[in-house]
Amino acid sequence: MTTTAVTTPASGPVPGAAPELRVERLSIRFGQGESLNRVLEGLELSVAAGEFISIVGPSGVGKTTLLRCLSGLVQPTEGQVYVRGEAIKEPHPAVGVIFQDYSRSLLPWMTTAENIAFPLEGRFDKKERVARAEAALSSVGLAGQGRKYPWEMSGGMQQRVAIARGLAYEAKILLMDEPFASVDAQTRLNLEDLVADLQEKLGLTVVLVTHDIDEALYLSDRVVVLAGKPAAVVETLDTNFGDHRDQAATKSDPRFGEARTKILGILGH
Amino acid sequence: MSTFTIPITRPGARARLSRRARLILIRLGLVVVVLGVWELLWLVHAFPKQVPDPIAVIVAIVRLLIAAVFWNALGQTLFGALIGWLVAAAIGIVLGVAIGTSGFLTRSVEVVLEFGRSFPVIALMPMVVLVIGVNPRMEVFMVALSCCWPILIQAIAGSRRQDQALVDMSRVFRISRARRFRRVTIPGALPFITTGLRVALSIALLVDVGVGVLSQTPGIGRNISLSQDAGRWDVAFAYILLIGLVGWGVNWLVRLIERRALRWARQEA
Amino acid sequence: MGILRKSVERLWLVVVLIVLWWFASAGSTSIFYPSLDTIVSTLWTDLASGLLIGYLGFSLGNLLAGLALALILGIGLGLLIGEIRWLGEAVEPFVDFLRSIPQVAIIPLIIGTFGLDAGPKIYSIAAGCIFPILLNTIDGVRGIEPTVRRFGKVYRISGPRYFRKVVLPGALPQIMAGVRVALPIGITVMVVSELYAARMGIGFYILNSSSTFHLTETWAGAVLVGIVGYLISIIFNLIERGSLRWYFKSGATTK
Repeated sequence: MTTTAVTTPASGPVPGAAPELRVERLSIRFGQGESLNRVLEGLELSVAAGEFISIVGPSGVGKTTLLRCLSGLVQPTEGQVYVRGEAIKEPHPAVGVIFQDYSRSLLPWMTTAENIAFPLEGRFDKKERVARAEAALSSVGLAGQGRKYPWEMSGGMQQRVAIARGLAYEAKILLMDEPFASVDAQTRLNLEDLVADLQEKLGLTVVLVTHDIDEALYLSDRVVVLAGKPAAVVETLDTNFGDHRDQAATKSDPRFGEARTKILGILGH
Repeated sequence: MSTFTIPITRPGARARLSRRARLILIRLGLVVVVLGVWELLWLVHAFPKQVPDPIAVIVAIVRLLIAAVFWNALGQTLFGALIGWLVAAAIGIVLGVAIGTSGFLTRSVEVVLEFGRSFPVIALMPMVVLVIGVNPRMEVFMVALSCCWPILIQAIAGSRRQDQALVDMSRVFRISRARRFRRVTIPGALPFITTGLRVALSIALLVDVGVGVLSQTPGIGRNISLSQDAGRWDVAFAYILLIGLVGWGVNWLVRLIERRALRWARQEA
Repeated sequence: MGILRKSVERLWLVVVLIVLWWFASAGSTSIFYPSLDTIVSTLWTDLASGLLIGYLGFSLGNLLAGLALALILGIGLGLLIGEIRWLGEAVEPFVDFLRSIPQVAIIPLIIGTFGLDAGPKIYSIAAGCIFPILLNTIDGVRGIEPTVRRFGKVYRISGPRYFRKVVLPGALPQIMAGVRVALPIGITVMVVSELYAARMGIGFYILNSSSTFHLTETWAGAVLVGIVGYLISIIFNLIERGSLRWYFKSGATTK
């Protein structure tokens, strides 16, 4: 795409490097003949390493389906998903997923520390797993909460545990499916900042699916708007309000408002 | 700066106490009324001669509680029920969990299960007595055959149940099938299995008494039938009420253990 | 095609088991384990001669009557106990206790009390069936959405109409669950009540033939009981699905 004359910031996409995630001619269709349901058709998408992109669009357009393809949980009807250059047929080890319904993805019979260490079983011994779980808990601000059970914690805390699980797993690519939809507004802001922080510190690549446009604009380097049936990328916006984001300042930046208006317009409001 | 407190009264401790007291009074009242009516009707010979004097029943209960013959019989009945239940549990859980892992097998056994659970196993008594004889083996056989169905059905349901979120999570984090079975499927099935075990225990007790009544194997059942033959209906009634109490107590105990052991299960949706 | 496949999936195991039984027992000379061949032919003979049909009629008639009694009393009492709070609270522990009394032990009591004909058997069956129905009715009534009740109050629906149109349908799913539990109990009590003291009926058929060492008949009787029990549960499933169509469609589930 375009090269920038300004020095690249510490975080954010490295121009010219191979894309971390790539989607080629992706099509998802269900059913046949009369009952053919074309959800996605010929979608193309590219995410660079270290980039934070959001996918927004009306409810039911296929954002979650797209994410499930990226995560390897669903095979496309046509086309291919490439993670770090490899065509995937199943979940890639560098990919972690944060689900919308955190309470159902955390095992209630395990403590939070055990939940976080669970994906590491078979790969590291107990001592190592415990250490990694502790570290992960600290990075999401839940140090010392390892012995609690998920159901003893609030929604926001549970989602942090889910994030910690991805971190301990050393996922380099984080796919998030409306992760903050089920928490209250205040907690949402805290979690948004947490994710932004982690992404910057660890150089993660993040794909966030959300219906919250403000959230998308606030967190991402690029916002992809999906609309129509079959869904297609109708617009891609590079966010241009600087890398340092702050809940108050950024959201009152006039450029933020312009971007928001533009997207709302596309989505028909 | 002065602070003031708004006096808020809880539905006062005093009001609560009188509510509880009222409840207990009503219950006592009901008991007295029922017993009183029974006694009155008995005194005027409104019942056929087999229905005993409630006072005689109460006396019989007290007498039984201090008689070795009761406790011996209780021990035998509990033992027989327990062994049969354990056999059923071993077979039911192993078979059930195995069947549950395959959708095909689950559908295949549906008809057989429906047949088995509605089959009056005790109807086989005459035949079983002829073939196996009147001995502990027959007792265990009858009990096990009667109470294996709820265990089997529940074990299948428990191992069948696959929360989509957990399946997705296991796939994303690339958790091996064996590990997923051990750490996700089995614990998830436990609440179902324990329900089946609890129901089966009640059935085991009932069936053991029934077997005793019909075949005179030593135990409560036999004592009930002997009392009836001797015309001591008050003693028979007393036995029945006492075994009812035992059954209720066992059930209560199992529920307590279940709740403790599966603290996390109550939190699930 | 889908239906054919589904049917095969559900039936293959049953067919296989029957075939295995047939061949394993063929040509058996043991009195204890007659061949499936002879069992079936005996069953057929006794059915054709009308003997078993008569017995079945007697037994099933009792079952139906007992069930009806249990339904009327159980639902009636259950509605009252469920609706009237203080009554429900007061009575709960007793009802819970009575449920754990072994029904099989009650039978000889009731039969010995009343004698040998159809009368007591109906009461035994009713006594066995009433508790699951009663308890589930209470649960069902209590479980009705409070908004539904408030609607009843606001529109001033009261009395018998309230019960018939609001409470009863609302509690119906749970009541049906109770009937489902009561059915095998009823069938068991039906058979056992005839084992103990009877002159006709399927239970009598089983006991009588076993005490006269005509074990083929005993097996035939057991097989018949199994088939009848299975058919009853199938019929019940259909009834349940029909009467609760709105419930299933709405996607709710009983606990």
